[in-house]
Amino acid sequence: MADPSAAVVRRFPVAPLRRDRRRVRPPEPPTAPPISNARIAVVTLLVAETMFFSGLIGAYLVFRGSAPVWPPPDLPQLPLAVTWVNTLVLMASGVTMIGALRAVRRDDQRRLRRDLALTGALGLIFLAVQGSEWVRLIHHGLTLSAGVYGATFYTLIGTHAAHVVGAVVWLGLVGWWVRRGQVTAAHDAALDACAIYWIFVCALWLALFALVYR
Amino acid sequence: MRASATHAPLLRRVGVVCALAALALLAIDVLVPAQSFAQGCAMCATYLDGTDPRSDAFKTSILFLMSMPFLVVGTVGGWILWMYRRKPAGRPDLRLLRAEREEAS
Repeated sequence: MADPSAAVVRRFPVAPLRRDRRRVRPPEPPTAPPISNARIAVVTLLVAETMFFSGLIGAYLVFRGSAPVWPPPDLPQLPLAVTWVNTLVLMASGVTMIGALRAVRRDDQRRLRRDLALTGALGLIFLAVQGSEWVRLIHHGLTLSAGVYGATFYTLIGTHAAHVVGAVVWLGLVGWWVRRGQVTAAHDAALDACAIYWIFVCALWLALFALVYR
Repeated sequence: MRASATHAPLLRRVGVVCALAALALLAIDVLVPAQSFAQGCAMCATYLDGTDPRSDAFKTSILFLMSMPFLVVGTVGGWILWMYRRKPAGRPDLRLLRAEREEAS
């Protein structure tokens, strides 16, 4: 026999109490937090890196502003044309890194591998050109001990180059994980963090290039 | 549902902690006796009030270094705020979705 009270409830539905409404709210679809832990970690690292480079740039500004002539006339000029091309190479690596990030979000493993390989290759080309230019400058007499000009140049640009080396090593590690199929749309934290670091290194180079080579 | 509403308790808690920290710093500054006569270091006292080009160089560098923490914190804070306030339509948690599908099957 049907429960008569059920018919009454159907005919005259009573609004649930406020606390019950809260309880019966349908569950939200599961979403990731707006900022992943990996992103927070890498942004914290980048904040520290930014302040580190700010200190170096602050010292550079003091030395450069204090010098009566900059660069000193007896030292070789910095290779501007080659460095322009090298800057474009590094910016291209940033673009391919963004392409790799988009590929992993679409789970396009083929394009991801291609873009990561291109990024690594462009980073290595940047380092090789920087290294060869340094060798030439040292042969022409611009050494670390050739006064404030050489010291600040090698400290700033060398520290950036060390960061590019670190980024390439990191990229190699991520590439290894991609080869093993461990980087997918659902597990992209490693690539995400590496991409943020890589783009930071590219942006930092733009600032250093504008500051040191002009 | 907006992400800002989801994370409102967390943001409120962070705000309360920041306000308490600011109050504590203010209290320390007011209550702890310290004699300071706005003295600069020997370097600043020597260079910063002259016509030496080093004076301008120091000032430029000081302004740059003073502005950087504000720039960095502002950028990161703005980014965090933007990420929390925008609609969470972007990326579902694929691991949770997959686990749910596996449970359902």
